[in-house]
Amino acid sequence: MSGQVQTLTSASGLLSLLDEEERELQYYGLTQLEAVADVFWTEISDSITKIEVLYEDESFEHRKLAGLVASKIYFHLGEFDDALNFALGAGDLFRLEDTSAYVQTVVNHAIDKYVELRSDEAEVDGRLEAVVERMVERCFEAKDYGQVVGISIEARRLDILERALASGDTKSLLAYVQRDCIDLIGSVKVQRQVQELVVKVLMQLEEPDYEAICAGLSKLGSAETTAGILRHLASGDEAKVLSAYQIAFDLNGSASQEFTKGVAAALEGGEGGGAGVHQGGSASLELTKALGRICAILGGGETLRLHLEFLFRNNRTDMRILNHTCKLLDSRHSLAHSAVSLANAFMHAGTTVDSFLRDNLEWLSRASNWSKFTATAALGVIHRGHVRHGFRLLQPYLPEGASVSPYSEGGALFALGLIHAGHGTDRVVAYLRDALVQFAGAAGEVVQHGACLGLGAAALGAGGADVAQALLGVLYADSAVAGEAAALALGLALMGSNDARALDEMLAYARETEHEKIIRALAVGVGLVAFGRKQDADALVARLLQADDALLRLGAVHALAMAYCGTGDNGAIRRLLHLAVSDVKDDVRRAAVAGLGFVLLRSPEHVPRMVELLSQSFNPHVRAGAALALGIACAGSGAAAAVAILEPLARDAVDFVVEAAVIALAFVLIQQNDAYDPKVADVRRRFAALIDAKHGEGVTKFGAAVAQGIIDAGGRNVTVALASADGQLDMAACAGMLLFTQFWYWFPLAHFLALAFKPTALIAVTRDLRLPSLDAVCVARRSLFAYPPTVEAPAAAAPAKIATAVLSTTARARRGARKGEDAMDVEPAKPVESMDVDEGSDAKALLRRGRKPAESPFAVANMTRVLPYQERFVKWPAGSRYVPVKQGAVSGVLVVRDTMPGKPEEFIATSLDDDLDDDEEAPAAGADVPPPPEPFEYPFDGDRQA
Amino acid sequence: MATPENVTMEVEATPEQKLAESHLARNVKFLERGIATAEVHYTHRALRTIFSLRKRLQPDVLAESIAAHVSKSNSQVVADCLHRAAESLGQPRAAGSATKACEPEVCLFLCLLVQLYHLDHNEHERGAQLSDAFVEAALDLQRRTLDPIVSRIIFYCSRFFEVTGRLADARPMLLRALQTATLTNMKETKAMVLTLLLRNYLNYKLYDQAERLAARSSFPTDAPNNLLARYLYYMGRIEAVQLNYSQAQVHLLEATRKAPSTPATAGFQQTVHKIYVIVELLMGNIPERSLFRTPVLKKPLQPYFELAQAVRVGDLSQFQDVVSRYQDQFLKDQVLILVQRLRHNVIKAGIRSISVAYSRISLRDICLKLHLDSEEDAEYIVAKAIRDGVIDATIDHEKGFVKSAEVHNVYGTSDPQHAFDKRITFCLGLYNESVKSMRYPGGDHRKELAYADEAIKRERELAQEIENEEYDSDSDAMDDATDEDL
Repeated sequence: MSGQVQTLTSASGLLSLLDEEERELQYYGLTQLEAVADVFWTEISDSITKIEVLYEDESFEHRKLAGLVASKIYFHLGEFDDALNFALGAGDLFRLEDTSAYVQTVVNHAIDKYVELRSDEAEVDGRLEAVVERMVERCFEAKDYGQVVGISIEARRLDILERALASGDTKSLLAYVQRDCIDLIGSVKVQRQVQELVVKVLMQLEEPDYEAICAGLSKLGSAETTAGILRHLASGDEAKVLSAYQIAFDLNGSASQEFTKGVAAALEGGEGGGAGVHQGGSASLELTKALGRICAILGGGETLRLHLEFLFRNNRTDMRILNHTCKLLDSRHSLAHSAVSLANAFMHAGTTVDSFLRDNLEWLSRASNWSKFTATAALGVIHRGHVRHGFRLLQPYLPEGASVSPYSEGGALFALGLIHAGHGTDRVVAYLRDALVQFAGAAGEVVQHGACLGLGAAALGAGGADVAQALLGVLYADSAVAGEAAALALGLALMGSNDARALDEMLAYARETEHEKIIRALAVGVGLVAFGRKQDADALVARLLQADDALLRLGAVHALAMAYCGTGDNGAIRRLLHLAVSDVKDDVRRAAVAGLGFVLLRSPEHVPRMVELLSQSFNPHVRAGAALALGIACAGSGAAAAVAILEPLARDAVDFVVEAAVIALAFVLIQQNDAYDPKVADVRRRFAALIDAKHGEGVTKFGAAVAQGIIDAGGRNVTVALASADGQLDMAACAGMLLFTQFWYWFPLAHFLALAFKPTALIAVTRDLRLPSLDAVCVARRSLFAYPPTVEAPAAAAPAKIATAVLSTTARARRGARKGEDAMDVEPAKPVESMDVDEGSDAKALLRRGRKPAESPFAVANMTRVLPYQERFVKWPAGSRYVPVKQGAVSGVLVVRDTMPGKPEEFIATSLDDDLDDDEEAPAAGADVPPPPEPFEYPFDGDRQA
Repeated sequence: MATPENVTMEVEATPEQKLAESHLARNVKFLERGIATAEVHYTHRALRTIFSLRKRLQPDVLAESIAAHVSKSNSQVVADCLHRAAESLGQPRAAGSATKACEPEVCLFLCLLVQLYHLDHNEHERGAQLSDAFVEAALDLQRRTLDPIVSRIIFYCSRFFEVTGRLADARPMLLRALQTATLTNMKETKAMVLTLLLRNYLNYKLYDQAERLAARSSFPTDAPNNLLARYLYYMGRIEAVQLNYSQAQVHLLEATRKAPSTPATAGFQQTVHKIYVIVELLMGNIPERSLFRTPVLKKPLQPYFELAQAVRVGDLSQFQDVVSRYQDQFLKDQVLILVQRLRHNVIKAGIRSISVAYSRISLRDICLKLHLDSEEDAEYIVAKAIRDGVIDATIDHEKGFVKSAEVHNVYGTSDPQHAFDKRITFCLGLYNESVKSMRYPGGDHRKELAYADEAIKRERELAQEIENEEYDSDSDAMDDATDEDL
């Protein structure tokens, strides 16, 4: 306690200077106060009004200094708004280049404030803008472009964004904006503006990246420009033509149906005039040919053909599983019958192999009413993408065919839609639309039901006014069965349009009608219409949330899930979580939890933690929703954390929780094998055990059978993916998944899952769109990515043995050979697996594993399976004859360039319908292609009537 | 003094060293786990053992540990701190031997130990210089996980300044720390800095400044209890000096309650009770006799006990006698200024007893009873007493008498209700806080779930068995019946 060392113990003396008359003294006081503000702010804050008066005094020449002092005091008091205001008043005395906490805090606050004002589109103080701009300038000087990009997007200053893109490393910045920023913008309008800007900048580059440009243009929906680019490329040299093909393939995969159709139309329209004028003779012929191919690719036919070929060639369905399940489930119950129908449909989705149906005619004939509808619609899933022969395949069942049951007729119409899902030709759409009119009336409501669903699938996201009008007509007839389907189809046809008029009509009708089915379907439909609209859908959601009717609140949940699908938006998550725990209706709660899966689609790693508590809720509906959320978000990922939550749920005491959990497990573990994750075998056994359980509930058996179908979907060659590898949302897949979750109310809707199946293949095509035989190399152990072994026939089950799997001998021989080498690999691999426990280490563990067996790379041939988690190990060997146009890509449809033209090429013989034209008979190679399966239709109807 | 000890230790006390080393290593592990799991309570656990560690602290062990944590990948500020710390221990500049960057938490923890070492070995000047550097580094880092460690580093820094007698110099550092802590929401540091600042101001009797600071800033609600107790004590002192007795009484009482009542905190309890007794007296209350009988408080509170007696009786001469006898003691306790104010209270105590005894009494009589100079004086004193809530009465100025308010039945009002409500909210709050501060190891519920699964399975089996049994017993019964029939 020595004497006071500090000279100044109070600022009261300085404060009294402010009361002086003399301006000089006041100025002196202020300068001194400014210096000691950090120490004596408590004291000065008592006299803040004096300083404010000085600041207000226009005649005082140092009023800026007063502003600075006041600002500092308010900063210390924690009043950042006032601090900012006075700092703005202080003008250049407020020195931005200071690194003090005061300046930093105020500047941060200024930027926040600016962003807030800009996003509210409010009036912005010019001084505030100046401060932000000065800050941005400093970032430019420091070459801190990432920050500038962030601020400019948030503050909606596209001019600054453009400048930043131009001044920095444009390519990496553009990639940053496209990958990480655009999807986070809440407002669709701003998102579009930014996208436009990105495309503009991309076009100005010296070597324009046409792939990126076209991807951007597809989001903007400017078909004309895209067509122009494609035409430009098509008239260039070979490399350009090939890249045009690749772009067309990519667009077909990611862009909406409406857009690709628009591009194709624009190409065809401009063909005659543009091509012939400045090029002559053979060149023009070439161009015409190339453009024709591009149009064909854009139409989707080529991709579908290739996928169909791939799925057919590589079909590895284990028929024993299916036959065994079919035997165990009592087919007299429509629940069990539908389960087997669905399992069969999923297992053979897109493979065109419908041998199961033909081999089990007796089983099939037991289908009655709606289970017959489901069974017939299953043909659509099995032949999905078989657009050339759609009509011929379904001829026996279509209304004008030999069939007499409205259920199979309706099912066939639905199947027709599924075959053309997302690629509806005018003919199909018109046909289905006519069917709507033709079968109007109470008698035809089942047929109408099928026609509506089919129309929805075929015209997905591309519904014109006429389609919508026809569907509204069915809706207004107020038939529960037909109206339900019409409401869903309306949602599908107008998906993502956010068409205000249609929404109004749907909501008005939802309030008017008395049919719960229709209201519930409208709720889903409304959700689909709002797909991807983010903040635009907020008004709709708010309106629906206020409704007393739980079914309309359900609509709000669907709208939230769809509008914010894949955005991970915090507001949407908060609202869904709130509904999940507070709504009085179980259905709403379940859907809200499941909706989390959609919102967090692109960050599946967050979902397990978020739903962990919900998965332990006392409410079984919430538990079931949690399981679905995990299934949706973590589909195909094999995430260990998700499996850890789902496994206990699969042993839940409540039947429908088990159902949801096993289906979710199938989603998560689809395409995984034992070598990669030893849990898979347990899970598969669990499915079988549930079906086998003597006293098991029907619902759990249904779930287990469907799960068996999903985990081996598409002959074990497809995964469930709602977004592409580079994060593009797949609209059709999202719609398919949402409708699949409606199986809770209506089994036939489960067929929509086919829309979410993605073949995982390496498909390389040459410029003639033929399949060269080529090999890529996978630098990892083969067993990690092998097909799971077929199940051994159970010793006791005698009849199961008789029904041997229908597989071509070559396929079996190949599998036998592979099984031989796998058996050796699989065993020692197991102990390694047990190490990874949580999902984070998953990738690491894989890498660890991947590095070790590097000495044993194996070839991956064209038209074979490449799993999503395998992609990183697959390389194109250096110096090979074919080089892909798209750098680094190893899966999907890839256009390859032949580096040794002239040399004879080897092609893979296509086994399906290479030389077939529409509606001709099956070729020689198509022994497995189904002949008209009429036989199982007739005897059945007679039975029922008897 | 340290040298001979060290020499002997080096020869024979290797187990001691090893113990210290293992202690240190364990704490470091705690800190690292705390960072990994973002759980502060691990850090607290490390800090809790600091006192046992402090006794075993040896420069060589500490220096070794520092050397092990110096690495090139550390941030510059932290590395500088560690170098300076190592130098101050008389060890050669440590070469970077660590392979991975050490977490700033661990580095600052080591700095904290170095501070303690210097404090224990009376190297105050050096400690003060080092501490300044440490605080600078800690504030620069602005990591919220550092919060508990930074708050202690600042505490010891201030302590060094205090023992070297230049507490005022610490003020700019503390104000800067306050600003950083507020902006980065470091609650513990903020609480600590506020407390230290109040202490700092009070040390120089800058009650005005201290009060302003307290009024302009908010003490973090969930600060540790010991900090809260100290803060409340300082607040009580400030308010007592600023004539705000009732508030001061509340704060001081709370301070005694919040402070742990272990032998280690006896000093604090004594200090708080000293001023608490005086504030009670100033408010016209007489503290409980039992308070002065508490073993911890009995001896140091002796002068205050006598003071209370004098006030209770209302005897001015006895009061003067006590004050003059214990003047030095009061001065040392920094309460003399308050004690001097008590003179009025002696009078007030008289007024109080009068107001209880008489429902109406003239000012003249009061004047006579209390040996006051004039009726006017008596009027002023009574008015003040009424304002302070010492008595409940009204003065009739015209007729010159004081009328005591009727004693009304408290139980007829809602006062007891409010009192109970207050207690209930307090209890509920306490309960909620303890529930909140409970820790459950993550993933433990999984085990329970596994048990639940088994239980469900067992239940099912049981149900099935019962079903079968029923069937069996039925058939048995039937068998029996047939047997009997036969």
